[in-house]
Amino acid sequence: MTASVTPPEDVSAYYILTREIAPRAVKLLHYFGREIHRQGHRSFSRDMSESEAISRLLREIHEPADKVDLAEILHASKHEQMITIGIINPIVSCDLHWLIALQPYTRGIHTKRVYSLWPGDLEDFVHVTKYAPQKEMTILETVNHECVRHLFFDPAMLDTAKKIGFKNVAPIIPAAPVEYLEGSIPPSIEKLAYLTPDEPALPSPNFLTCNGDTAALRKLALEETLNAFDADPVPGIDKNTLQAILEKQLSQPEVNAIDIILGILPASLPPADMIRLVGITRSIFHYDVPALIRLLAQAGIVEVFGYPEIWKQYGVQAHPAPRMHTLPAYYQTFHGHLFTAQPDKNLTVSEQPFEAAACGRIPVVIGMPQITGWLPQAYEAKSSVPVALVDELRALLNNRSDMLRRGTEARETIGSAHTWDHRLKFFAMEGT
Amino acid sequence: MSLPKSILFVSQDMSYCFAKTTDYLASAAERLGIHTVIRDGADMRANLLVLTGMPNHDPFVARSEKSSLEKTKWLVDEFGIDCVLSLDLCWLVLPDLFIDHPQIRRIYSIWYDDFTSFLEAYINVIYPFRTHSFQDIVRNPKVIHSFYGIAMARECQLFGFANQVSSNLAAPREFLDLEYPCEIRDKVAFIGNPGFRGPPHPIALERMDAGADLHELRELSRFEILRAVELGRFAWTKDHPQIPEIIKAATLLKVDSPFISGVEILEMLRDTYPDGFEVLNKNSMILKASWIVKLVVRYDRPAFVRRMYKKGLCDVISNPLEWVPYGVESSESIPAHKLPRYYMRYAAHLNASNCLRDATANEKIFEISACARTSVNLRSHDILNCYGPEEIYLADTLAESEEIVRHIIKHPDEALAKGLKARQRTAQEHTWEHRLANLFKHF
Repeated sequence: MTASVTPPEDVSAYYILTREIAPRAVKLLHYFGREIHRQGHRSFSRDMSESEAISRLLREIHEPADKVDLAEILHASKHEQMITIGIINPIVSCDLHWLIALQPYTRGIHTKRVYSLWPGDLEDFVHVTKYAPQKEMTILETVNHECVRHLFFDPAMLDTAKKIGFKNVAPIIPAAPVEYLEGSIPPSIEKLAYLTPDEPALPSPNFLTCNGDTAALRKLALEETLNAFDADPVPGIDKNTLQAILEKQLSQPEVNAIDIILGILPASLPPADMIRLVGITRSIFHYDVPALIRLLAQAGIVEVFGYPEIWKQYGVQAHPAPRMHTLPAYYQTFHGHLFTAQPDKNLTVSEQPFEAAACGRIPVVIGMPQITGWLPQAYEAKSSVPVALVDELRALLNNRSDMLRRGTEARETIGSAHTWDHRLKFFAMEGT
Repeated sequence: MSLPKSILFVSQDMSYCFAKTTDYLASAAERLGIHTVIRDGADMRANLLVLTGMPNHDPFVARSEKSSLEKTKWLVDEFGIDCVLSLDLCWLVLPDLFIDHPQIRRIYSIWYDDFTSFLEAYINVIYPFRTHSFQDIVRNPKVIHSFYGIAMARECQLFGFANQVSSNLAAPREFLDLEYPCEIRDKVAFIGNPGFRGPPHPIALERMDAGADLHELRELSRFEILRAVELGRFAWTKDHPQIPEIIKAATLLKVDSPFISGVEILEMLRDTYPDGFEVLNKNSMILKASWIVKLVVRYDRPAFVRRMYKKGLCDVISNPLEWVPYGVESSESIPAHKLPRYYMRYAAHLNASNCLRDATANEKIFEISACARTSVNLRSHDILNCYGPEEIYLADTLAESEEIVRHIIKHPDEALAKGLKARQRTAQEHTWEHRLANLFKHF
């Protein structure tokens, strides 16, 4: 028997709220939860997608308000009971998944802290606007409640959030699961792998006519965006204004979309509409990465994973994405992994390079300068001309022993500074 | 021994205190090196309750089921789940899914509640059976049922639950490492509810106060049951003239043999009352009849507790409303994570099983023991299988229990010494790791 331990009298628990239809959130929070347990804390995990599903279904079939209320009360009361009985503090979820059933309870009656972890963009704000119950406060008021903290992987997204009206925001560096540091299988495929982070845009018939030329593709995307706007407009924005925004963004691709928009619009829009407009603005870049990946796949540099049916339309043969439980084996099968910025979402940071590094494989990054700051062993591809890029990556792949050495060193860096263990200190349970 | 790689635990509603056991099981599985995922099936059930309350609800139920199925299937695929485990039949919220999924090799039902209570609880609503019937699902070779009482196991065997593993409940390993001071030595404690929730007959309370012991109270309960049958309170007992006779005979047997399951007792009477038994069986009333028979011992636990409480020998800790009919003032329920502190606050605890469960070695005896405290128990075969007289106290009557409690109050150090031995035994034989290792022999 081990030595006796007297734990603190009132031990709080983490309440981890996932949304099962958001795989990335499930993965991140799953490993976060495991780390919590490893460190001896209590936690409960709950899937919010059922709360959302019933709200959505009842609203869509125009059920009377009392029926919708009943469903929402049922779910909200379960959460309140959990918070009271389990002494829950803090609540942790990705994006605003917690908000679906907990909006009335952010008055901090029982819970002292709610963390929203934002690994990607702000689209979830638009989503919850449709399905979250708005009883006592608006969505933005709830999001800005004093007990809520927003943690962003990506600096541009953090900046966008602030300018839309989010308060209590902070950056957080992504992390990798501790489990990925274990085990080793020798790589067998002498290519880079590319795991598609999000669903690519469907290519229009004119995609191939641009021959991979970035400028032409962006112009094409701009026209398509303008044409699609009528079907799903943003209130308060006419087509001329949108065109001005898109052209400005096109001329200044490195500038955050929110800054472009705020420089043109005379007055701000409601947050959900602003977020939609940001997304529409950045969609002029939605062919950038597919064109790049297509080039590299055709050159035999990368194997592509995820969304095979969409990649087929780009003329790229892609494999289905590996299952979550096979990710370590997937990462270790290849000599290195390619990660790119997602210019259509204004994202340059992701947890994927950390995961690859944790598995002892070198992350090769394009357009993600911050990654090399955190992981010095990552390789940052510098060539801007496609042919030169292919040569650069080919040269890298020809030096596989160096790739593996860097991968091993990257694994050590992860182990010393970038696992969820290190990030847990961020989620200090204040006030317990 | 081949272990599962990844287990999906389908929990009861996490806000209920008994959901803690799923947490303990998952922690034990992790310590065995098995990857675990816990999901609460209660939200799906809540949605189903809302939808089935609507007129013409079939298409909505189907739509809700489809999205829950897709989502759960995704979870199974993503996490490489090859084993599903739940208390009772909590995993059955989506019939067919786990049975039909080729990746899932085993489904374990660890029976905690009694069969009838679980199936009749409205919170255990499930989606419709489409591909397989209920009987086919619970008897599927993939599904293994674990029962913690011999009588409970025999009851379900009679219903055709062929794939059974006998396995006691257990304590979480975490309790073995905890220390809290023993602050109260002049009383013992009972942490729990009265068991069967029906209000006691006033005569039963009078008899308890007059010092009636278990046999008399069981006879009294029997009398209440037979009177209710006579008055037509159970309409199905009129389905055949032999049925009231069966109830009479079965309840008599139960008075003398309290630890034989209700269904076994009924089975024993099959040859004596063949026609009546046949009607009960054909009309699907065996479980109802068994439930009535179990009520013979409904006063065992509350009488045990009330006696000590009324004599100032015991504190009661539970939902206060539940003990009001028995004239017992209880302090509020405590959340699961605070249980060890309360267990350790006292030198000893009363422990008695719920009459509806045909199983007497309940979870509490293991938790109390893991916290290095002893318990005063009504002697039964199930209990003796787990602990001996050097670890716990055993009594055959209420009078004997009272003597034991008074003895403990005079000699708390003796009780604490037994508690230490109970803890050692628990560490060696009665943690959830031990139970899972036993279960996975069949994996």
